Formats: sequence, structure tokens, C-alpha cells
Amino acid sequence: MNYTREQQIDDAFFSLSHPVRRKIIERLSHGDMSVAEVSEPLDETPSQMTKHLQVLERGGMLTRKKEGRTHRLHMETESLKEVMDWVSYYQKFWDTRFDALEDYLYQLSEEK
Amino acid sequence: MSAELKQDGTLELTIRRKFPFPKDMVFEAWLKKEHLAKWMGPTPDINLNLTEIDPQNGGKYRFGFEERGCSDNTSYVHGEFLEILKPERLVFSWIWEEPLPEAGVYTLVTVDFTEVSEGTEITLLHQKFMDEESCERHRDGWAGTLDKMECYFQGNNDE
Repeated sequence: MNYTREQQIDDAFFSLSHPVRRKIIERLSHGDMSVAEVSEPLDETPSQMTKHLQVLERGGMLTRKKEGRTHRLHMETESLKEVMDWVSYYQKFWDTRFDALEDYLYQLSEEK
Repeated sequence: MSAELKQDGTLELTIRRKFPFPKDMVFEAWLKKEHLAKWMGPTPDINLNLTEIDPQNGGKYRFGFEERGCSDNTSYVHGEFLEILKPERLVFSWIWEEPLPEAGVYTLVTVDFTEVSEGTEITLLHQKFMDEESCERHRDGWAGTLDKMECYFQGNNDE
């Protein structure tokens, strides 16, 4: 099955849709960590953690680097940027439209 | 402005702005073709090419945002008016067309108009939904689980 860009975006969004997974990403934003380190303050069972990490990997949010016997988790900023780009694009889009709307309403009220 | 990621993996963007004009007037500006053409498109670098607008529940619209002096470079967006509650609320879908990277992704815009002492406040909520196919996939997932549960209970009853 072809992995389309749309599915890729869906998986990225879906991977961020759980508070624990957002917490994991927030922790990894400070630097790479082992699975044990990232799990430490989180009240999750090892199997729940494995599941969350898999979802984040599929969403392109993190990658694993093998260092000897341990895995270092690394956050992929590019995928997160895609999500943020969506927000900033529409923020700018609507802000500009609201400016134009305001100008136009002034124009209309002067005509009356 | 605030952005929020919802539990189902969809993203929401909220923008608020106050306009020193009556609610009816601000609302009208969103639906009448001649008004929209004056503010939705024309920024210094963009022309609006209003190809279609049918402002009623279930009515469709299609806008082309055309880069000034370059009609080859037009970005089209289309959608459907899902709710028009004059002069309170406007709900419409917002779907970009090819060749934009977001093409085909179903997003939803809800605009609320509230009377405030300064005039009218607009609260615009833009939500990004997963495409229908993936919603379908998730729904199938749930349906499958429920089917299994049903089989399980039936199986138990038969014993």
C-alpha cells in the first residue's frame, strides 16, 4: 500500500493526540533520552510506553538510535514543524483577512 | 490566537477580533458576493476570483486566490455552507484543491458573531480534520472491535 502524504500528515496529527505522547515529545525536545529516562516521571506501564513510542515513530515524531545495548530516542523536529506550519499559515491568513474586513467596513459606513 | 490539539488528533485554531460595527453589518459581509469580493481576496498581492457562492444551508462556494499579474498562479478553495444562522453563526467546510499540498484535506471553519459593547466580536474557529479515508479507517477499527465483542457475547450465550 502506498503511504501517501495525507496519511503521513494524519499519522503525525494522530501521534500527538494523547497527553502522554505530548509529554514524551516535550521531554525529548530538551535532548535525546533513553526509554528509561523518558519514562521516569510518567506513570505508564512498560507496555503502554512501548505502544506510545511506536505511535510516535509512525507519526514521524521520533527515531531510535542504537547505542550499544540501549536505544536513544531522538525527536524529529521536521514533523512537528509541519503541524505548526498549519497553525501559522491560517493565523496569518485570517489575520490578513480580518484587517481587510475592518478596512472595508469603515469604507462601507462612510458611504452611508 | 490560540491553537489546540484535540484528543482525536485534530488541530484547532481560534482567532478573535472586535469590529466597531453592528452585528448585522459584519455578518452580511461574509455572505454577499459583492462584499466578499472586497475583503476576502484583495490584499496587496492577491485578487479574489469568486467563481461560485450559494449562501444557504447546503449551498456551495468556490474561491480562487489569484496572485496579482499571474492568473496561472491561482489557488482554489471550495466548500459547503453547513450552517447559516443569521446573524449569529456561520459554519462552512474549507478544502484546498490540487496542486496545493493540503489539497483534499477536509477542514472546518466556524464563525461566531457576538454583540459586545465595542460593536461585534468575531470568533473564528478553524479545525483541521483528518481526511475522510482515515476517519473511515478509525471507524472501521471501532466497528471491528464492537463486532468482536458482539460475537464474544453471542458465543457465551450459545454455550
